[in-house]
Amino acid sequence: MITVENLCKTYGSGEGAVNALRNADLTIKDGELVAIVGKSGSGKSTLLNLLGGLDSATSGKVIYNDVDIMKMNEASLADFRLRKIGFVFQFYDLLPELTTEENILLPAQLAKNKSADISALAERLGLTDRLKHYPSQLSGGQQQRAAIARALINNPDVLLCDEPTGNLDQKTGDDVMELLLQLNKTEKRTIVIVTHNPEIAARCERTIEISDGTLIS
Amino acid sequence: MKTIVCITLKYWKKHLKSAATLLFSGVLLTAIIFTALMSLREECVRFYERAFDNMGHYEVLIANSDDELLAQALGGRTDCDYGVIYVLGKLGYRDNQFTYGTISDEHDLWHTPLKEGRMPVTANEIAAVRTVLDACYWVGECGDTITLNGTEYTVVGIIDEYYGKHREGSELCEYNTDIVDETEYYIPLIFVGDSSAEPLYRIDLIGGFFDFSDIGRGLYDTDDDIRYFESVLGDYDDYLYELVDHKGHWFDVNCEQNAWYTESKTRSVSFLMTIVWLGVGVSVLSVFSVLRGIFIERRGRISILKRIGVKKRLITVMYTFECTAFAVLQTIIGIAVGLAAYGGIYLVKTSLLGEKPYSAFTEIGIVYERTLDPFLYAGLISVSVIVAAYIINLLTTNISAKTPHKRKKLRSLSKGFRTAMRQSGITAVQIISLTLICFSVIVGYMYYTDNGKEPLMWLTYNNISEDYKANGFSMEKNNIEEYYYSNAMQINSFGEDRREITEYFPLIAEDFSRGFGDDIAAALPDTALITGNNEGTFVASSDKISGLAPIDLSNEIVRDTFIDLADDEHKNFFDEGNLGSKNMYRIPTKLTTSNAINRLTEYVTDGEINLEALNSGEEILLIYQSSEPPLAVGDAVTIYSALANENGYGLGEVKTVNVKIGAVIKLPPALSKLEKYILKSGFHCNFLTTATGAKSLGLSGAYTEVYSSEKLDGGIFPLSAEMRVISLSEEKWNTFIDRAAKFAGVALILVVMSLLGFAAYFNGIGLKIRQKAYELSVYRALGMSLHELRRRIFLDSVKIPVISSAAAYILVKTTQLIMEKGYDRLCAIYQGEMGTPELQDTLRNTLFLDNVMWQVNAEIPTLILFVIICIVTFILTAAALKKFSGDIAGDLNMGRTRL
Repeated sequence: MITVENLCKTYGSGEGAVNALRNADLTIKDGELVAIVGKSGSGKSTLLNLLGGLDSATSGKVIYNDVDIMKMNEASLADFRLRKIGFVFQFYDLLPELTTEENILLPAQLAKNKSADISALAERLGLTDRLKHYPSQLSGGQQQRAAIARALINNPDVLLCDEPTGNLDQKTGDDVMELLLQLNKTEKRTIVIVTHNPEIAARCERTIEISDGTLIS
Repeated sequence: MKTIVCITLKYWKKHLKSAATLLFSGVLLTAIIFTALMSLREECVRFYERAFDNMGHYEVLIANSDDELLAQALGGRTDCDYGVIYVLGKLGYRDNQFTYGTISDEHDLWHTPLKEGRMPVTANEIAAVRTVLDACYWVGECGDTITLNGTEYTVVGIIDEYYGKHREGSELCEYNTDIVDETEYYIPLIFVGDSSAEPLYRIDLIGGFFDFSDIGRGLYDTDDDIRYFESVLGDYDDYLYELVDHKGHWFDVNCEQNAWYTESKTRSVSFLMTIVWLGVGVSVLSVFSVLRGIFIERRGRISILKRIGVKKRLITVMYTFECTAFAVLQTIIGIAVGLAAYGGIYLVKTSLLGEKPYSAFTEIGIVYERTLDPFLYAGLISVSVIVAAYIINLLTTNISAKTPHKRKKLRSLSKGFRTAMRQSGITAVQIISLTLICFSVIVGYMYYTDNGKEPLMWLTYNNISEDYKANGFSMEKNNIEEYYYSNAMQINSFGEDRREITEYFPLIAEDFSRGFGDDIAAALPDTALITGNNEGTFVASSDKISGLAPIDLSNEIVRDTFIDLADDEHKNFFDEGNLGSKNMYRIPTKLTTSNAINRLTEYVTDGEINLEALNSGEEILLIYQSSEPPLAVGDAVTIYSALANENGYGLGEVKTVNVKIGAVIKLPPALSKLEKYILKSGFHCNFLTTATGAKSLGLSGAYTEVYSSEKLDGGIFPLSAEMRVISLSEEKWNTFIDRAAKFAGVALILVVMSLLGFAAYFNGIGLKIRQKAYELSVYRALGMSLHELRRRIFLDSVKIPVISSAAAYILVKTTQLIMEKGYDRLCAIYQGEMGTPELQDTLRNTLFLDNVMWQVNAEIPTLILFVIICIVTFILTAAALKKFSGDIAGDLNMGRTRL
């Protein structure tokens, strides 16, 4: 279970300070599929980054099973991200110098996870014949699927997706969304999706709306 | 177009740090080239100035000339420069008289090499050659007075010794002394200002006589040019010879120095050039490296511009615009910095290091023909490098289309990391620049160190470390800060050549009057070791004295010569009953102070030291080395000393002194050599007394040497003592100044170049990390800790020092091998086996064979350099990664904009 308590994030200081997130309180149960929606600049991605430990909070707590990740040191947090969280970014963030296979296996290599099964994952995500290709040789959908595969390779408890379909056309976006829903249903994996697309949000179990850094519902 | 310029300006405004880095590299490149070329030009100026110092700047000199002769020599020419010296006679102190005169020389044809001060203006001012002032026992400084032949003058200028030694017609000339031997028309060694005295003769100086422009190209560019000029000069030489010969004058046709420069460019200049080109190489790499980073960083932006429809031509215009701006800026600023750097070096050389004020800005026309124009070439190279860097980067910084990964084997995490972080261009620049720097630093170390070097045959190499000597004693080892001395008594020995010197008959060639007595010695510190020597004393006995070798005058020819040369009253020297019929034994007399003698009490083997008796001349001490003293305490001894007559080798007078041996002393072996030296002569035994004692006895002698562990007030010694001084600190300072003056330019360029190269390397570390910020953020987002990231980047970076150090070491060893082979070849040529003199010069010059660099251990400096670079690499890697301690999400966003 993920518990967010009184979470704040402010960028800058003084008059130019921007309150990206204000006193957010939130609970996400294990196996839940949650959509965070809101307009551009409302603080969706900030919340997701804080949930994933990619950013540090100005104040407040992010508790995963009784452990506040905001209090973790850099090395522990890195290890937490490696083993417990899977990220899917809007821009895929695959390393252009590595092949698809190497990109997918990167977290497994970092975690020295020898049991990672890329073949099954690649087959499931339709990437079998694209493993030796570089990201620049893949389509947007394939890149996003590769990013999802990379996020899943260490079998994390939580999948955090930042506008996973934002860069994709309708059809490809639907495919990717279908894949995430399936992962949630079949593997009971907790998935948090940041999106501004109401259709995607509607397919999730719960929707959290955020506006000007404040959680509305 | 306007928009593009606007976009360009906005980009650079936002990337001021990158602009500053690029400009910095370009400015340094320009400044290095400019400074180096200015230094080379100055070197050339110095060459000519030195040549003119040695030989004058005139083309024709006619001694004892007159108006008629001058008109004939000029042959109707009226456009020549003219100078004249009026010789007024001789000036000096006692017997040391030197030619003096006045000079009127507005074109500086005589080119008097002043060591300090200026030429005299008024009648009571003089400028004189250092050796002349020394010979007049003047120990002052510029501005002090000197009395010469009863007239007081102010010394306003001191002329270098080599003027007296090198200039033709100098009475002190040590080379080409034909003129000195044949003429009575010497050149002045002392110049006075205006003088109303009637000149004895005049010396005409003519400049600008030969029209060098006839050649049409640079002077003496080829052997043909040299031959041509030699023939022209030769003709005029012959003409002048005919013109002045019948009058017994001498003349000099003098412009050969123009021919020497090309051949005699010193190897240090070649070395400087090598270092400069290495520096230029490093700077060029630095410019390329920085610009490459900027191009990679801008790739995304340019791609956007293209996508929104900006034509390729406009992008080219944009690059041309900024390239021109950088070229102009780096050239102007670079030359300004170069000027400042050159000015700094010049100031250091002239103010601190005492070099003559010869700068690269000169009026010597030939210098401009002989050297590259620093402004033009620094500008040209600067512009060329930035333009080339832009073109090459423009052509090569494209995202190449990738083909699927063909290797079946998956890359490991480390390999994958290295692949992700790979920036081959920057790495190559880093490796090359670091290799060049390591190579240059090690070669510089090899060049300037004497680590393990042994001077070899055929090489002019001198060991770098100096052993400062005072009368053969190492000043440092013997703790001698100052050594005061005056010329020792001159002894002309008489005997057979095959005999040992101890058995020679000593003739004191001059009445000894130099040195000082106990009154002065009393004012010197107790720690000063003071000594004097009368090597001419001997004793005579009808019986043989055991343990001593007698003076051998048994050879009939020697005896006959002795008698021939002796004054009339000594013609019976060898007659029965006279001194020559007895056994004569050389026992020199050493002099030292009461303090030093008092310290000998513990070494007295018989008798007692009685200073009063010593000073009054009643007693004398005997120092001996054999098991038994040759003379016993209480023995009445007659000490003889023989004075030479006027011819220096004939007996003029025999002095006798009767004295009693007060004590006999045997010095212990533990005494230092210097302590022994002040008490003991090099003979089997010697007498010892004080200067006062010697005076009381009527013996010649005074203290002539002082070895002091501290600085003394030289003014304590009267002029009549004729004391000179060697000061350890001054000698060291002079050596330092000499070396600094010689190597300052090279050292500075080496330091700047090293800094530049290191800057390129370290800039590369930061640049790589900045360029790979996105990849690093992805790794962090996926779970790699900062510590792990630092470790991997450091391991990735450290391969560069490893490769560079290894490459530099291989280059150094190869250089050493080539030099050694070159030396072997040189030896073979000298031994007449093969090769030509030209090849000798080529080998010596191109392989810097004035220095046995190949004997120096290169491993230790390589290792030290490697360790230093590794440590700095680690620190800089850590510093560059510090910016990643913040939010990963932000870094990811920043990184995405690049792509």
